[in-house]
Amino acid sequence: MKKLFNNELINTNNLEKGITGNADLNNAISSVKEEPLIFSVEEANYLVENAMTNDVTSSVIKNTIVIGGAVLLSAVFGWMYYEFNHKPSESIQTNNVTTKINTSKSLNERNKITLSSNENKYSDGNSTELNSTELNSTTNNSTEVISNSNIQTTESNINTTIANNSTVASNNTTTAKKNTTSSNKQGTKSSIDDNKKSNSNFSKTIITQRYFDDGSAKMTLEYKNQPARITINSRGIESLFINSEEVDPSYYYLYEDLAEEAFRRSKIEPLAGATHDANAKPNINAMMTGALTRRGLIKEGEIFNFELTPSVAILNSVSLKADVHKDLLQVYQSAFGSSLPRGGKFIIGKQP
Amino acid sequence: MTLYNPLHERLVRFVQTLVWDKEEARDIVSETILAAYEHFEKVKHHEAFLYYLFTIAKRKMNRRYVQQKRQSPWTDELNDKAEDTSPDALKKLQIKELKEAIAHLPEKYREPLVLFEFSGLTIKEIAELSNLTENGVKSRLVRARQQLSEILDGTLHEKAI
Repeated sequence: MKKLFNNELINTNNLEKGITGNADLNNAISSVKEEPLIFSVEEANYLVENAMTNDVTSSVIKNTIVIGGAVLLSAVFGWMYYEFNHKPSESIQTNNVTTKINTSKSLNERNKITLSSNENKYSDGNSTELNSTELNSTTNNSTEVISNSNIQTTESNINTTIANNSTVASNNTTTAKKNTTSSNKQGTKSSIDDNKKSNSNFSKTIITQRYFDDGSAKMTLEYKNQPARITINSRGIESLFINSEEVDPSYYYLYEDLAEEAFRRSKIEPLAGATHDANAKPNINAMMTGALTRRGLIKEGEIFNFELTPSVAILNSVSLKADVHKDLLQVYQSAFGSSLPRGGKFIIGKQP
Repeated sequence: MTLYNPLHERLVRFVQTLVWDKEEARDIVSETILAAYEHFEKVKHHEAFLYYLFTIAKRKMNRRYVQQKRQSPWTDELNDKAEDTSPDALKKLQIKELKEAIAHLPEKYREPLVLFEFSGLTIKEIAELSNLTENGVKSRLVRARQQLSEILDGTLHEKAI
């Protein structure tokens, strides 16, 4: 057999990089150093930029809410001031449900309403509307504040929706507007189907991955350009959030590729299938049969007898090796949620 | 990223030499970068960024190692997953054997060797990173090379038999 490394002694006195005194070893070291990097610097930059964008976005949203609130308050005081000191404005509309305040610095020479606390000018000649009736009924109706001012970000505007004085959702205007919960499910379903056909939009960029002592794993992935958060254990999916919306377990089957990727990465064996609801009642027999099949101990559809106790595992009257037995006990524990008690016995099929 | 970019290749070489599973190695690198970014304010001096980054990577790898031991081994076929990208087969075998030999080194020798030979850290930097004296690092490197030699020799012996 050809020797991979010659018998030259490795020089342990000269501590220079890559100079070991053994030519073959030197070559091997330089070959390893020449291997392509598994993670490019562009990917690293993308990862950090992504994280930075999230941070900046959240701070921009906070700032926008604060500024939006201040602007709204100013508008109310401005309107009150105007109401008490001038004749009624021509700009009253009564049929709108929402109030839109555009903080872009537009001027309309004909109708100028000066806000009391800042220099922004409002006008009803533009898309900007200031409705006195609605302002009075803010607590009942939703109030939408659209801010066109760029704060910290250079790219885009942030739309912030405030309903009943609480933040409901915020998105960059570059992304699609958030749907309501009920319509979102439908929308997600169709988009998943489309993507399954094209098999695209699945990014392998892992953002976080955490393991827990109970054997479950939680990870955040970028899935179809949306953040997906999935928690899995051996019995299936514990929870799945796509774009912060929790996916109903009955829709898990639509996310098979995502679930399989999660199991593959976490190296957890999906005993009941990747998209199984982990909180559903487990079918231990099916899980154990699947585990035996995957380990090549039985064939698919084979009729077999299996007995598992804390001390022995017997398959078709043959005692299995200790390491296999230990592995199957682990499978049982993962499937059942607790270990097989002393004196306990798990049986599939008829025992002699 | 001004601090990070010059260290990128060193970090990735460190991780990909010690972790054979490509996806696993990618995960560790990305987790390291994000953890470094999240807690960047902890870095008091810019010079300390290298030690900060490599310490995170070491911890991540240790955690994964412990995790892997706890996880079911049904997908662990590390030997098959070693990524060989060099052109000729002999080189590939050499790389594989070298990586196997490195994997068999005790941790206290393996880490300084990889940092020194593959990540390009200086003895002083390794000493700082590992809380050792420079002489301590040198002696570990010497022993690492000795053991590497013995392991590779043993491999040759086994193959000859």
